[in-house]
Amino acid sequence: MNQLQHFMSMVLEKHEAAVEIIEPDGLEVLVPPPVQRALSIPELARLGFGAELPANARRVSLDIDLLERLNGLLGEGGRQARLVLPLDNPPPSHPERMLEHALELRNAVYRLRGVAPAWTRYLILRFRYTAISDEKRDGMLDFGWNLANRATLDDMLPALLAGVEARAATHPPPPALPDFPWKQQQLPALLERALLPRLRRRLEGFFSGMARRQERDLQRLFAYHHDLRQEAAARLAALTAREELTDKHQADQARERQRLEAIAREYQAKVNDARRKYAMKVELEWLQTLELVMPVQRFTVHIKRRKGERNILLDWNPLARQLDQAPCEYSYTWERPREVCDHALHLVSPAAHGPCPDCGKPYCRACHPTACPRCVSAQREAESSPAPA
Amino acid sequence: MTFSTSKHSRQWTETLRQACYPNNPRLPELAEQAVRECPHDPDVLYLAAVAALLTERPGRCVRYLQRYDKYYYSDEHTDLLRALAMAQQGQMTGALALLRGAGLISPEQALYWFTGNLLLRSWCYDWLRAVYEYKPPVAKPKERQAPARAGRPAKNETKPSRPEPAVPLPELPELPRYEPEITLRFELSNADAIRWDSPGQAGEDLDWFRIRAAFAHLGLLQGFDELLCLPLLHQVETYWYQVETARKVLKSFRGRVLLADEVGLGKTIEAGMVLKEYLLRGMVERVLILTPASLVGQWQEEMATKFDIPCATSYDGLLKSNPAAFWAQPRVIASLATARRQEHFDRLAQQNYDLVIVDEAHHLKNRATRNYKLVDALQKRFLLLLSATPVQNSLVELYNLLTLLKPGIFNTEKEFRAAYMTYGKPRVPANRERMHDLMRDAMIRNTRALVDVRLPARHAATLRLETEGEERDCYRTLDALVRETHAAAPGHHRLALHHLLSAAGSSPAAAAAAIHRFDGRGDGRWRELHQRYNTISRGVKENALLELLRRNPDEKTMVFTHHRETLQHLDGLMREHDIPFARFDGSMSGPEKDAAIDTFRARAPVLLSTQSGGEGRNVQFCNTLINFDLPWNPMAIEQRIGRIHRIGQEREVFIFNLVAGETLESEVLRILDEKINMFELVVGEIDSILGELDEEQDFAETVFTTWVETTEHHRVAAFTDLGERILMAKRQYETTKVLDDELFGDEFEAG
Repeated sequence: MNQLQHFMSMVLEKHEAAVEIIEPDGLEVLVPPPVQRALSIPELARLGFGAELPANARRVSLDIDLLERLNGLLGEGGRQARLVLPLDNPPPSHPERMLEHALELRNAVYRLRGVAPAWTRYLILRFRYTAISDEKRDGMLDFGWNLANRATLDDMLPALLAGVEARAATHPPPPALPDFPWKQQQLPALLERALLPRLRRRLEGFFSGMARRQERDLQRLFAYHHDLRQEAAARLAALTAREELTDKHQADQARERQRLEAIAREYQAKVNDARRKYAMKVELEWLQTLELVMPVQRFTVHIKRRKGERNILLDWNPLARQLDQAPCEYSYTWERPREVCDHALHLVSPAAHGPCPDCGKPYCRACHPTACPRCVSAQREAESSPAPA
Repeated sequence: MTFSTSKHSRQWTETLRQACYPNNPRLPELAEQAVRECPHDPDVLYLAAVAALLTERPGRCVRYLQRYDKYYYSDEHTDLLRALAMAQQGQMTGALALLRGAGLISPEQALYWFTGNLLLRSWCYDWLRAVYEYKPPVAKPKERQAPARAGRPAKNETKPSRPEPAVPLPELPELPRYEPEITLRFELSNADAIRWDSPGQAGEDLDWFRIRAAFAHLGLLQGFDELLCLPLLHQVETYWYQVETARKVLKSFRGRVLLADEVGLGKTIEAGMVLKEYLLRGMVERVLILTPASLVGQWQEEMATKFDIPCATSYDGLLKSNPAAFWAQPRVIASLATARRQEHFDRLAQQNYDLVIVDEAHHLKNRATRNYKLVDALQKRFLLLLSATPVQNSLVELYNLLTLLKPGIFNTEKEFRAAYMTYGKPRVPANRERMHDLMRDAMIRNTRALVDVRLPARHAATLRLETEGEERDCYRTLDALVRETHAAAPGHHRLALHHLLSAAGSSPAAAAAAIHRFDGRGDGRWRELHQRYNTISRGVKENALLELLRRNPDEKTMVFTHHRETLQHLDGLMREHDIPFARFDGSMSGPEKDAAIDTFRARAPVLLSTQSGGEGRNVQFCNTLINFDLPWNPMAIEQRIGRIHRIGQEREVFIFNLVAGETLESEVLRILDEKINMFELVVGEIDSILGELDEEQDFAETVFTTWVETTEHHRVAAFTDLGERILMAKRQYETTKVLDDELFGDEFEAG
């Protein structure tokens, strides 16, 4: 059965239609009135999905009209789901080695305090993206968090989603699950920080293709305008070299100078056009949320940085057979390693703990998400100090 | 070239054509008579002009061409003859100027416009080389001059010209150069709609969740952002640019495109992906693939093994027994030469095809040819044209190809010439930017630079081994029996005879087994030969193999053979000499093959393998290959080399060919190695070179036919003839490649 045929079969059955497979690549369906209206098909219909149609079947092909009708039929169904997976959860055999492998701290030390079974809540968000530059590219992006410790799920996602596919029934959730750690209004900024680098990574090929094309266009523009300028400059030089200049020669000189300026302006305008042409906009549309509740082995890790210390939690997942990566509490990047800030002992990536581009002093972006504190206070001082007499 | 119309003219044309060879004493008289009988026929006049040149009567040639010009437009065909006439009259410089003026800047380009058999083309090529390589003699300085008078230059002395004083350019600020910069803007359209809170019980039905997820994927499928075919490909390592190309063909070009990737980048894979995708989506049912004869088998194999698309081919018996049923099949691969024959042309024009693929599509570059007319006449929804060298002599060829894809893209030919061609320079575009903008709607050309394919060099050495005694005598006997059997019933037992000769070129063990299977249909001589072969325990190649392996006993080496019996024999040989080895052949299961490669990698220095050796597995840790026997099909040789000479290979690759003298393989190797240096070509170039040949049979069949249908006396000439054809094809390909690189650059890449 091809994909569209399988999908139609699922949807129609869900809408209480009777569905029977017919050859070749077809379905015979008995559908209720709402479905008849939505899909503009009669009560009893024969649908064909392959190159060869069954007898008296109408062809169903994947076109925009069909997608719109199906979207209408789906409504808002399927946006959210919760799945509780009561899996076996044996403790890992070498937790210290696992931790050593998973956690890399550049400026702090850590020690494993203990490992205990626990339940956690994973939140997996699915988005559809459309990247528009000189060309368009569509795709889907899954992103998830472990709500117990805000660790992102990048490497674990394929295993978790594959595990979900294999399960049918759900179970009642256990008590005492971690809450969602952010407020609704924080979400857009949070997602932008987390998703933008992931989108860049996903679209790397597309990006570099556009960059290559832009580079070629820019080189062509430079070569063309450079040649034009050289020609105009040569004419101007020939005029200037004359010992006696008539009025006409002077007028020609002025014209060549104007032409040179015009060429420079035109070049700049064309470069700006090329920049606009390839500027990329990525539109992201949230599609679904999956909440996955499952048992884990929870590692309690004690971190020490100078005089400060804190405990963090990292979960070992029995389905993915992986330990969480310590989150970057600012950017939620997947890249390692981590550094620990001095003030609140945030775990952040080196980029989120790097120097301010203006004053050059490092600061923690998790502590100060909006701006460098030194620059902000310097600015405040400058504003509040009296004007010189 | 125009074509004769009346039967009378056609008869005279045919007579003249057959009589046209150098030093034919009857030729001048025949030519005169033909012109008298058909004074206005263009073919007769053309051939008469050729005849005059062959008999070194340039004046007569010029008169025939003058008559031709009275009734017909001159073109490159007649310009070429005119130039040859001038050359024969000693006017080399004039001849060269005429050729260049017609846009024929090399002997190979000019030769393209000469119509004749190989002998004539050789003759013509010799004259063309003389013209292009002509250097006028340097004038000697005059020894005496009239003395100069004061204040005046001497007689015969040119005035020295006053050099123009250099005018410095004004100082101008440099135009700034800009680096590429892609700004990225992000927009989350429905952040408010995101929900994660569950009401305490299970949220939505999981089934609905899955349905919505599947619906989202369908949306991507609709736009071709996701491809269905990728997980279904076998033994194909797809590269990002190939996926991009397939996506673009489906999404932006709507299935009508010229795929003009440089050689070796996988145009066949790209076309196969597009075909598979269309099939999986139910958008295509009837498919026709047109290729040069030499590539039919390769296409069939690739479609079947890599894409799981079985196809009928024009080598099937059904084509002869029931052509209507043959062409009615849903997926057919046919040679262009077969398809364009009159008996098939009309039938094909009535078929409805969903997708037509034409490989080596530069064979369609001339609208006057049957190739072009055939493809133009086909009723098709989607059309893929594949060619690494789409423009060979003139931009009009590009016009013709792109007009097949998108009629009207460049308006009429006259308008195209006026708008895009430079007078006197048929390959130089007049309005390059505008032309490229239009071409971008119909063409994709990925370059090696884009995909950053860098492979180390490959080096080949051929060991020609003289057989002796019984081994030599047996081969001669087998050869004689094969010829006799073929001559007695040409066409019957062809496959078996082919196999017998191939086996005899491989090893005595293979020959014995092949004879046993053939059995000569009761002819006792075969049985006797079988017994003789059985007495040969080891041939001359086995000794050479052992010698090669002993030179570098620790170096990983793949030894290829086409025949199972040879493989078995070599198996015994390795054991006898305590050489650790692994064995790989197509009949092994997947795990067995994996184990063989693991053994080769970890422990054994030698891998004995049939043609499938290493297929789909990483053997790039090995950089030495020995061809114990040689397939007659160069593509099969290329496939063997391609097991180790591929992306991932970091060392230079060494290829050793073992061949016994006075065998068919020896002749094949002489052509492929000595004539065109095949083993040191870039990956994929041999396909393009063979694609230049407009033969009706594939290369292996041509070789077999040449061997069995010529006497020993004529064999050398026949193979020389074949070698010359391939060499011409290689030269043609090389010239075109350089010119196409200049014309297209890197502006049509998929990524």
